[in-house]
Amino acid sequence: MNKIFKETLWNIKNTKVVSAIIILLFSICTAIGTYSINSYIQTNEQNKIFTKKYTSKNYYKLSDNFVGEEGEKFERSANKYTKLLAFNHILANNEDFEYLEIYSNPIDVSDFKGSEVFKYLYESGGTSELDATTPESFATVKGIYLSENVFDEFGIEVEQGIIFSSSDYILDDSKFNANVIPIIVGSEYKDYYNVGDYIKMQYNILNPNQGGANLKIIGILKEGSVIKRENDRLESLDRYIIQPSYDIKNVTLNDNSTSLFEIMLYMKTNGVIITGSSANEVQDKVAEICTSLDIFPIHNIIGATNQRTRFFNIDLQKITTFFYIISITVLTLSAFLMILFSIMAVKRNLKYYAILLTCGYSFGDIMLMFILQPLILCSISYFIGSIISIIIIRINYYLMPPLMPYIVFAIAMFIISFLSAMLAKNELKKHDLSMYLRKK
Amino acid sequence: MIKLSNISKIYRKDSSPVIALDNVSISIEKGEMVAIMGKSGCGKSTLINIMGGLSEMSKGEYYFEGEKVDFSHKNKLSKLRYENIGFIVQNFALINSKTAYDNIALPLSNMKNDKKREIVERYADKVGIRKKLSHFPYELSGGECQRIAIARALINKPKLLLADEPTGSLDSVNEKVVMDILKKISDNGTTVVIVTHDNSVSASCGRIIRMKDGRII
Repeated sequence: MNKIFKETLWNIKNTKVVSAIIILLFSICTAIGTYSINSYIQTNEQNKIFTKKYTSKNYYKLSDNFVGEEGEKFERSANKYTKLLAFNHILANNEDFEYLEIYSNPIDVSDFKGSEVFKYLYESGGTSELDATTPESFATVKGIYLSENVFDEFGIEVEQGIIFSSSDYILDDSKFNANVIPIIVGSEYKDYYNVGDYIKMQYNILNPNQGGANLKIIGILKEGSVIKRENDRLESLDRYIIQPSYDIKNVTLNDNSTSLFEIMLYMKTNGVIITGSSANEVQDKVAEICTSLDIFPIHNIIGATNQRTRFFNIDLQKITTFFYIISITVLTLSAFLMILFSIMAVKRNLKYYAILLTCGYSFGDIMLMFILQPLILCSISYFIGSIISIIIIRINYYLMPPLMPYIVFAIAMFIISFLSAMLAKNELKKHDLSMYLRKK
Repeated sequence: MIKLSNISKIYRKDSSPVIALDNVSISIEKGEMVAIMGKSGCGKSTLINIMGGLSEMSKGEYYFEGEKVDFSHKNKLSKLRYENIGFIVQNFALINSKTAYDNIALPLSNMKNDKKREIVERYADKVGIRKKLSHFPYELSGGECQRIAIARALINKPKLLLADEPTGSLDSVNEKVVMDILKKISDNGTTVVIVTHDNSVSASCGRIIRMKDGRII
């Protein structure tokens, strides 16, 4: 076996260029192939989680994609406010789905009477930076903005006081300068606050120049009030301070208010879509709206497999399919090249095989060389390709990829090696090697 | 040593049969140096290929040291070649991309490097090409190449050395050198069968077998 292995390595060394090309091609197709299969698995698993349960009514989280260079480009654009406002308007008035504005935003408060459970990061066990640097009476507590239709959708009712009136949602110039903001609190607040009490907010989101605002409790929710931002995931409002998600149509714009509203619009356009359609259908619809408004990168629907990438806004599923096709094409090309190379090698090396026969090698030894040579090339490529794909998957998905795609490619590589060996064997069988011993 | 009984070899060329060997029977004793002579295409090389187990006969029986050679058993056949038979051919049958050392060492691939080097150098000494071991065949003369081929053929101490036109590509000086080596091998007890159409080569042999149209005459 040792001599066969040595001769095989010598043969590979002797055909460095072709071997390197084959290794390169097989590495590329293994890397791209396993990556695209893994991407497909990952996105589909996510898709199943988000869409499997509810066929008539699905809850999809809309998420902006304003990160990286493309995101910064949008943020630098002059008319982003107008675009986001129009986007928000279309979302809110769309006939294809219902749009709920639900967005969390922690609130920094002072002289807080409540317990630790109201703090922003209490459930996850963390502490906010403000908690660590300010006196105990200051706290960063859980806050959430809800649009009017959220109350109807989830049947949210107050135990004490009242819910927001329609006028509470409208942000006009008078409110912009007001120091009092109406809020509703979750049921657990009732042990610490009453309807009509004020909670001092450190920062007035409606008017930063004022330095702070008073949050006036107008109602306390019934215990067990919940909302849903994604399928299968109920969120309790018991520990939240709820503010209305403002309609900002009727406000005089100036530099300060524009930048404030931009921030609000970013949050308002990260709401929840309720529809009977699939995540991918909603993603297509959102992409259509964003494209019509020239909003790039396009917002994503969490759980959709056809999310748009930040680069050129290409459909993720299409990219995966494209990469998969590329990998299959390269695999086919490499397999063809390998088989051709094996047959050509036989034709070119007939005298060499005849010499080996005179030196004690058997026909079986030569057959083994035929199998070993492509197997070595495929194994090297498989190893390189797999490492590359694992690294890329780890970077993109932060997890170890499943074995299945790698097993599929290992089988494919083995079949290609075996096929080239068999075709090479058939080619060799056509020749009487003893005739080639005398040839120059 | 070897006995070929009623050997025939029929090739198929363009679906019509070509008789390369027709009922050939030969016996060669141990230590004999035999020349097989005849014109081109008379079946000399086919005969020597069958003797070497490289080519299968269509009919007949082949005995090596009294044992019938089974051509259907490929592993046994390669073992027979590896342990008992050495080959030399007119165009040396060297691998051009391997050095003289690697060419000679080819049958010893399974051996450890130290031992292999020692044996290769010993055989290179015997044929007078030790200083050329690091050279590639294309850097050497015909005579030197043939001596490398002889060293490779002898390295497994074969009982039978088959030489197909061993001096066909050599000048008279190198022809003499090669024939002297072959004579010495034969004198040491190795059976040598030489295919040639050169009378000066056959003159060095103890017996001459003449062939014509696939038959012994």
